[in-house]
Amino acid sequence: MHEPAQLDLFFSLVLALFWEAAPFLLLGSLVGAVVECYLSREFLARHLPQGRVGAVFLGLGAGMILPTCECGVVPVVRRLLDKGVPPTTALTYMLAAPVINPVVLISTYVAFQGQLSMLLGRVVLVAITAGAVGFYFSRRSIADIVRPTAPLPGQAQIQPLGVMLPAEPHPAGCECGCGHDHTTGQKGIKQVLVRTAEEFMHMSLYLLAGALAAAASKAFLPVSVLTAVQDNLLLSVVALMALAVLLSVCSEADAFVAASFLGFPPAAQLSFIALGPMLDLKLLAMFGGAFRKRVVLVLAVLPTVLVFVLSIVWGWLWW
Amino acid sequence: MVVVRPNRLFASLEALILAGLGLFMLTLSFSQDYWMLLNPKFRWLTGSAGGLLALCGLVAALAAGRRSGPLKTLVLAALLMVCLAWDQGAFSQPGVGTDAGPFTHSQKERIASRVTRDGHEYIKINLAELFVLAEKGDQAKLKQRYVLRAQVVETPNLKGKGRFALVRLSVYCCLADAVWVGFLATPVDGAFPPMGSWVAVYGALELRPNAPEKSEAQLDKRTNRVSAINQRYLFKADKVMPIQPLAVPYMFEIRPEEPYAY
Repeated sequence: MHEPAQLDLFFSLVLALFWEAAPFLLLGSLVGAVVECYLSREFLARHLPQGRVGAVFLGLGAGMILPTCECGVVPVVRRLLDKGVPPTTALTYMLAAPVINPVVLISTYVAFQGQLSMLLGRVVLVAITAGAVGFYFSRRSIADIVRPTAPLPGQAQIQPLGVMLPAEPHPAGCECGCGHDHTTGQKGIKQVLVRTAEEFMHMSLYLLAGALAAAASKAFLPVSVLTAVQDNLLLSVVALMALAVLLSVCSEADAFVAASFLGFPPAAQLSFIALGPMLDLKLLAMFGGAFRKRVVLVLAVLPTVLVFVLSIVWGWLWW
Repeated sequence: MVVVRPNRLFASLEALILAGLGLFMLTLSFSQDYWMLLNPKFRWLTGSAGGLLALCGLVAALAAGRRSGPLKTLVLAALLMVCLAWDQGAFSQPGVGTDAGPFTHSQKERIASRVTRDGHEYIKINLAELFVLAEKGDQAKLKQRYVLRAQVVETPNLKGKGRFALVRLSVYCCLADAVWVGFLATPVDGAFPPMGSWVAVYGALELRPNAPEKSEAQLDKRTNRVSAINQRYLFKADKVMPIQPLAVPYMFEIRPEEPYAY
């Protein structure tokens, strides 16, 4: 059959995954840079809700009106957190935005040939999971969430090569060699482009790591074992959740892939399209580049558990 | 531990490499081999993002006060080299399509949507479109005759049942979400086409007796690719014609109505 040899396939998959995601990562970096340069902390402090429930709904609402692919949302959220947006809002938005936007909802509707149960199931599962994760982090400070290498006012940075450097914004030409933000508060297209380039370069390393892992999974792991469990609800949900994490398919295309698993129960298909945009190998790597290890662990475990439980409940109730 | 302090040289280098990656994206969007990685409908997106990335890289290279370390520079350089190596390999492959350029119209608009053979009229359709049509169960459309292009898959088990499979890879966004889509088919006069060959098959769908309620997804053991083979219908072939391998073998488009993407 027409297909590259296994090693060629691996490299082709790495490039396909990276270049598919790159425009969205660039867009996310651009939005993050605009946030960095033009959105003030004072404005956000005045206009953001203080309560946790309001913060969750703001995150979900932002996900609907500011659609962002999962590859682009991480740099945006990192910048929002830097600007003082509450973690509840930012993390709810991060997990919900790749799914509850019009483009993905339409693709889900089309892929499942008008099955409203799958569409609504996807929205509900992701909204509940994203809200729960946001709620979990509501008592945490931003410094507890964002990785130290991301610039945080008043906090020392640990560079990848082990050099401890100050993080207070300071003017260019200071010769401190810190390599981080010298431009906070500066505006203009040039600053936006420079910030975009820096953010893209930083996050692209993690995207690349995720693409390598996902491509290796797709090219070399024997996925045929999954067919053995397709008649068992619990095991099939676990199997397709694992596949969603390994394949790292874009949220705009994953419904079509899920719809091709016709022998699997709808609950398993639902778990595939609910978990994938919130957690996959690409995202895990990018989470690692933006957030602290403990946060990455929660972002991996909590959605997995919730999607599993909710998918099973959904399967028992409706099918 | 060797500590290399971030400096301006690395910062300028990595920014220039970033600009190079942007230029690669821009070139890729015009490449004839774009389809090997991504659905051609995203050419405009790749090209636009490439232009913006190149601009960001150039501006960052010229910006004062930036510092960086060697690690990021090396990784980005390695990525650029892999891209360039892939690009050369892809361009050197024979038989690639000529439907290049990011903004060209697809070929389907330029060809007739039906063909007549041996007194019967056949609708041109691709396997993914036929698969969707079969799943929807529109009886009027299911009774039509179709011609499709596919690769042949034979297994001892299938051959024992007097069948072979017709498959083609369907790509929605990129190679990572590719799914083999296909139908089981019956040979004409017991003649099985060679395994792996490309064929144009003329025929019609036939409901299988005792067929499972739903089609079964199968995961191809040889390629690790997800595959969806329709189990409810057989494609009963009137004629199987060997054809040259398609220049662009993947299916990127699924149209609900004629003219189908074919």
